[in-house]
Amino acid sequence: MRALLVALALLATPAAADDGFRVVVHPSNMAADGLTRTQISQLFLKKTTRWADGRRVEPVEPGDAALRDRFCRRIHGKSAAAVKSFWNQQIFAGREVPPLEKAAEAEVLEVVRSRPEAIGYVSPGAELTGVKVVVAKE
Amino acid sequence: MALALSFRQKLVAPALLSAAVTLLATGVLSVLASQAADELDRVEGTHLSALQLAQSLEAGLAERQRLLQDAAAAEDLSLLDLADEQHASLLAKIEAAAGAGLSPQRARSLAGQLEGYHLVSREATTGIIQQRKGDQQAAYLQEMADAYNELSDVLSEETETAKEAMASGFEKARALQRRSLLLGAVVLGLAALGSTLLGYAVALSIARPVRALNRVALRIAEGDLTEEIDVRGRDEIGQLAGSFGRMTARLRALVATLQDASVSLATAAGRLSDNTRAQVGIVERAAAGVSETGVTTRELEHTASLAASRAAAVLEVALRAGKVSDTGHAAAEGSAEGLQTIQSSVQRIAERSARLLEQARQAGDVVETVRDLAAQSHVLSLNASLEAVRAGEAGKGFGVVAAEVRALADQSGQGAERIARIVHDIQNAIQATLDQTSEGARGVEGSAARIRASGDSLRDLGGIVRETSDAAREIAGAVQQQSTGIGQIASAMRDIDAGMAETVKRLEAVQASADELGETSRRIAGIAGEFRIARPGAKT
Repeated sequence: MRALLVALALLATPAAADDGFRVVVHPSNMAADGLTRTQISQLFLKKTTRWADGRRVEPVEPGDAALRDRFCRRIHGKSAAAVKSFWNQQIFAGREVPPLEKAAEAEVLEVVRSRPEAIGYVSPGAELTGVKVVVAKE
Repeated sequence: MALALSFRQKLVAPALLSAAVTLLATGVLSVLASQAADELDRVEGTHLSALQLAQSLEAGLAERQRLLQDAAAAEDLSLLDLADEQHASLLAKIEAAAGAGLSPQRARSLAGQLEGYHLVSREATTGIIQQRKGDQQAAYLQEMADAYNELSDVLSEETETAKEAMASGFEKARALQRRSLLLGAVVLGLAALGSTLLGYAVALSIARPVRALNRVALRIAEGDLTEEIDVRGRDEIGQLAGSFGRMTARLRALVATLQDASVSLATAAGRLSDNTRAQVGIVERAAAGVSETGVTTRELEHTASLAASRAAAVLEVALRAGKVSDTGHAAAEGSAEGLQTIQSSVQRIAERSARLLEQARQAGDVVETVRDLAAQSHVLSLNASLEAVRAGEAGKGFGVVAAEVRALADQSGQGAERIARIVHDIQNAIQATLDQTSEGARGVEGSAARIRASGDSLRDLGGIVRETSDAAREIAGAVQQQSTGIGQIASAMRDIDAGMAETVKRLEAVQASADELGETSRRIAGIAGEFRIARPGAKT
């Protein structure tokens, strides 16, 4: 069953295999379907703060620096340091705080599984049961 | 009533009213203005300093956030000390403002809030620098953001409050100003209305008699001087009306005089015109006479110049005659002298002739003697010849000598005879010469007397001729003077002629002027006639 799902996922997203990360949401989150890369970037930079159904977006990030860097370069189009600098600015301008950061991927997945408004990303090898993988459209 | 005021008082009254009302309004307005000034002072003293504090704190907060951000970016905990110092200075500012523009309670609450924010922000920044993860850090970050935003809101609220207080202060001041403006406008409007009404009343009180006066003046302008003025009053208009009445009366008298005068003037002008016309005729005739005289004078001038030339000719002739008579006289004198010389020569000839006659007579005597001697020689020779013949041959030579002597004696006798005849002829001739000489001397004597007489005559003639030439010269001079005089007369006549022409022209101008004067006097009479100086039907 799980293998089938993975196979399905692999079939459905042949390009995602190269990204080196997987964007995941709660399985009930329909608003996340068909998100573009830019839209995902906006969600993680808290520029978009609400889902289409009006719920507050809760982005969550893993602590793995290499994974973060891959994600930042692919989704935001800049380095992790630049994104960190952006967040420092946001923090001290009193505008926004950075997404919740979990040291372990399991914690990230736990948050996504338990909260329908959450969105996160993990490495491709993570246990993806109970979450929905979002494939970014170009 | 009020209209019994004088002209000047009437004119000044509205202005005085306006001035009084304006003075009152100025007092009220100055009270309102001082209230507005007080309000503005309050705004400046309290609200402005509160606003300045709030803005300064806002700026300090932003500065603090930047310091924290710098520390986070540099990942340097020591930089947080700067943030601490800045925090202390912000607290000091609040401390200083407490009581002045900021209530102590407000100051305390602000200081508390600032302290809370300081602690949480310091903690959160430390977390960022130390790269703490997890819910605790996220909570700190969120708390810091909330504290910051809350403080920021409080400060901006403070700013807003101060601004509103200022705005309300300004609004109050503006309201006072508006009230002043309104009050001023109302008071000034009332003053304007009051003075306008008063002015209107005054103008009416002035205009009514002025209109009456104007009516009369228009009647006068139309030539009706009969109108009486019915304006009474003690003010200047009343005085003017009185003056106007007097003026009208004076005008009436004037027009009457003018009418009379124009009639006299017309008559005089007519007479003047006639006289001038007559004078023009006279002068023209005179001018003709002068012109004729001029012609005559020119002829006279010609004649005079002719006489002058004749006189000159006469003078010339007389001078020549004088010269001739002088020459004749000199010649006669010369002749007389020559005759005298001749006479003395003749005298001397006569004397010499007489002496010659004597000598001739003596020569005759000598000749007689010679003849006697010759006769005696002849007789002797004859005697000698007779003796020689008696003496025969011895005596023959003697006889020849005796014959020769006798021949000689005969010849001597003959020669003496011839000489006696010659002497006798000489004597006769001398006698004849003597006779003729004395006769010639007598003739010369007569001639000299005659010549002398003719020389005297010539001298007398020369005197006469000189007198004649003097007379001729005088005549020539007189004629010359006469000619000059005639020339002057001619020139004078020409001047007179020109003067006459000028006089005629002037007289014609006078004539024209007289005609014009006549016309003018008629016009004056016409104008004077346009004035009515008595009511129709009234007796003049």
